[in-house]
Amino acid sequence: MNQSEVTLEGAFEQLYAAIDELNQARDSQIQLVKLPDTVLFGASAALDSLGLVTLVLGYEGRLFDTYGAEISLASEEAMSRRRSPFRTVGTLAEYAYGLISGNECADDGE
Amino acid sequence: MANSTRVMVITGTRKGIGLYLTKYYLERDWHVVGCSRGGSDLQHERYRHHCIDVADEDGVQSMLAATRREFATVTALVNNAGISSMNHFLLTPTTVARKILDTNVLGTFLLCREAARLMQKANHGRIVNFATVATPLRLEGEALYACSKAAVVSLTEVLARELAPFNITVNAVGPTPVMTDLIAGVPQEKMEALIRRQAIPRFGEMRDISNVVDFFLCDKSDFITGQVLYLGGV
Repeated sequence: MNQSEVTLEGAFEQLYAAIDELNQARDSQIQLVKLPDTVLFGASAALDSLGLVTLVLGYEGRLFDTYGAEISLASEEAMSRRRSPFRTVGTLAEYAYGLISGNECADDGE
Repeated sequence: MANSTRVMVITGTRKGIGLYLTKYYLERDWHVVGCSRGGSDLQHERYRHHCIDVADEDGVQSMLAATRREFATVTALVNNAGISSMNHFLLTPTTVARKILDTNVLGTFLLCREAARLMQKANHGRIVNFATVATPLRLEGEALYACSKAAVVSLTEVLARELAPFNITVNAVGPTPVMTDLIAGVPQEKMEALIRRQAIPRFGEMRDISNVVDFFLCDKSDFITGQVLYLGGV
């Protein structure tokens, strides 16, 4: 398998592809919008818990297939952040990029 | 990998029930990914062995990542690995207690989590955990073993619900004593007393266990989840 070097744009692309896959199983009225500001987690989230699990696992799978990245997005470190990396499409892609590239953003809640 | 390829992960495959199940499913054309803390003498073109401790997260993730690279998914998981220690509760060292809980509970949890991640992608999977009759029989001298397996039962029942949306079934088999190393240190009279409490008073055999695993794995069992099937009429 030819694996690419991760870029932030690539991390977004893979997340958008995972959203496409998720949307195929969702009604047309509740399609998840592919924008960095789309809220994934929290009171105004577009996804229920099962949808979020499916998206995260699908995203991890794509990151593994594309970059050979054996990462767990739902790590203890991610869960303990004051501002969850899962809150929007943008924060999730940036978090994944940071994990794979080693350029992790500091927890901006601290 | 051909679409028809069936991949089973079995833990504790170096000896006993795990080795038996590995050979049994290899004979039935499964690919088997096995593990134990030590190496395995088993050589087969469809068998992959990993030397890991099931309670070690890195080791479990590494095994499942290798499985993903080679096969893309996992069809079935059989969480056979387990340890026990015959001790009166008052004489059970903390290190022994921790080891039993790590292997039996944490190990089962880690394998379920990592395998289910791959099964979720395929929208299909079968998980078979190992319970024990020591739990419903409240077996004296096996407090930690019985309670660790009670935790496995609870895990099985909850995971059945959490994984049902992904068409993954989670069940458990509860064997009676089978002649393996696991019971080698248990006095004969204890074993006989235990067996007398079964509706069918005999030692379990390997085929009794593979029969239940077969039942949970078969296509027709897709409406059976969260169940614990105890052998011997317990």
